[in-house]
Amino acid sequence: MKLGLTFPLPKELIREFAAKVDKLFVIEELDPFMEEQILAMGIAVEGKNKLPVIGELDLNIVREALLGDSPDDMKFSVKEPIPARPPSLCPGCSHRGVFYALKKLKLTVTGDIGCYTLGALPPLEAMDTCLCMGASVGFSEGMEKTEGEELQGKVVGVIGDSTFFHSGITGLIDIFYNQSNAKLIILDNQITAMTGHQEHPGSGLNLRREPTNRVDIEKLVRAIGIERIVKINPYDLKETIDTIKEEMQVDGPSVMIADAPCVIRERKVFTKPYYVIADKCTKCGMCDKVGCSAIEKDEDGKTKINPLLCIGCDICRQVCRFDAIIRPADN
Amino acid sequence: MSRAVLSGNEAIARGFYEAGGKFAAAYPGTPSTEILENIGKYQEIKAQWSPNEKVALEVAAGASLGGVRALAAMKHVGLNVAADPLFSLSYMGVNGGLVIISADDPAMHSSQNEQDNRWYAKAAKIPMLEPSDSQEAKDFTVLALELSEKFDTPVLLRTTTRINHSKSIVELKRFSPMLRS
Repeated sequence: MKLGLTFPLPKELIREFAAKVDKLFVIEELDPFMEEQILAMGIAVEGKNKLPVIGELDLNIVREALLGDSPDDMKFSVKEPIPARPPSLCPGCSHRGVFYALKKLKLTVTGDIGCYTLGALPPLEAMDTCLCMGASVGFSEGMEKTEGEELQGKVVGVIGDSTFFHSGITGLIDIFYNQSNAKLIILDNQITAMTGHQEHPGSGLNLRREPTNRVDIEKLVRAIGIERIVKINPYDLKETIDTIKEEMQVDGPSVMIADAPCVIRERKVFTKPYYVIADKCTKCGMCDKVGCSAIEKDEDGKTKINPLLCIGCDICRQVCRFDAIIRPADN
Repeated sequence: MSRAVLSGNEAIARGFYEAGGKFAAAYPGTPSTEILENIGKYQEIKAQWSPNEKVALEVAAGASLGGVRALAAMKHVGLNVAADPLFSLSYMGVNGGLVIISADDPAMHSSQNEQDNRWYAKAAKIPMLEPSDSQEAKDFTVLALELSEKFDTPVLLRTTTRINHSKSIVELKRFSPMLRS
């Protein structure tokens, strides 16, 4: 039997069904929610002694668990090896420059939920915590308040604009109210990017993409009482690194706003695709550290740039020490 | 009667429309996001993004108190944020039918954890329906609103990623003005 109403359970239906069968199994994903309640009804039932309590179920998992076999014709497999495609920030993403800077500065970064959580993954690896929506703010304050020397002036929270509206504001009020020195970077790409570009209170459009009132993040932060608010252009690595470094030294809280719209949302193309002068490339690997999927290797292991992916954000050119990466002249 | 191939999320939106739903709010979160995006296509319904799920549930509950059929949609972790109003709404009850969608994400395709939100129904003592395809997603949305009004309680419609995002055939009905029990 298949149940549509799962709370409260239709106990009489279950009793009638159980009386008709020799053995009763409960097949449910995740926790033994129905199983425990049916056991509590005094009905012998099996389920999670055989089936996993994590992950999804499919035909093969259930068949193997309950019947101990799984015919080959039920296995869906692909013979050809499929290349791994790890998640990464999009080519030209405005978050890349900030995470490159945070890694360079060796800061402890409390992160949050959004596209920018990808900053935790190699090669950027510039996010140390990710708990729940808004936790970057409270975490940075709590860590800073431990007053351990290794954390002083070295902890910074990173939160997106939509997540800031969702549950970052109260944390920032706490930073101000409880006289914390915590530092916060708001990655303001002006949209809820992760879930597919939904509007939010700071985007100026409503759900139907009609014009509406817009909450100004900078004014909101200022209204809380935070006095140090600086804007960052995340496409200028030197400026980004210098600004974060300077703000980390100040006494009292600081909010840095990396102000750059989502390039996918805007369908933004900065320039024609960049290219590499192979003779100048020493295969040093610096450009790999920005974690851009437009950066590829030729047969000799030298960098080449995929012209279909590159939108000319300039980050890779700024890290190349040998001037091998070229911005197209005819823009 | 016409038919269409709909995702579970499209079907929930359609069900809310066919049941004469008037107000819907959500904060985006995979796999629930497309529910409100699709509800937004029906001009008869006021549909809006809230800054978070707690606010979304509160404004939807306010619309229910005001007497219209209302919906709040969120992903599983969103219901944690909205848990505070949820538990007391269970005592307060509804005027217009109120359905709360919890889109769970087994295997964590797009989430930081894998919590099983069926426990919320038991803990908050509210009825829960679980569709197994898009037709049921639509039918159960309508049924949830009817149960909500009949028993004076919010109703949880709990889905999983596969239900939200898989497409199957759904029979469509016309928009019907809200019937009050």
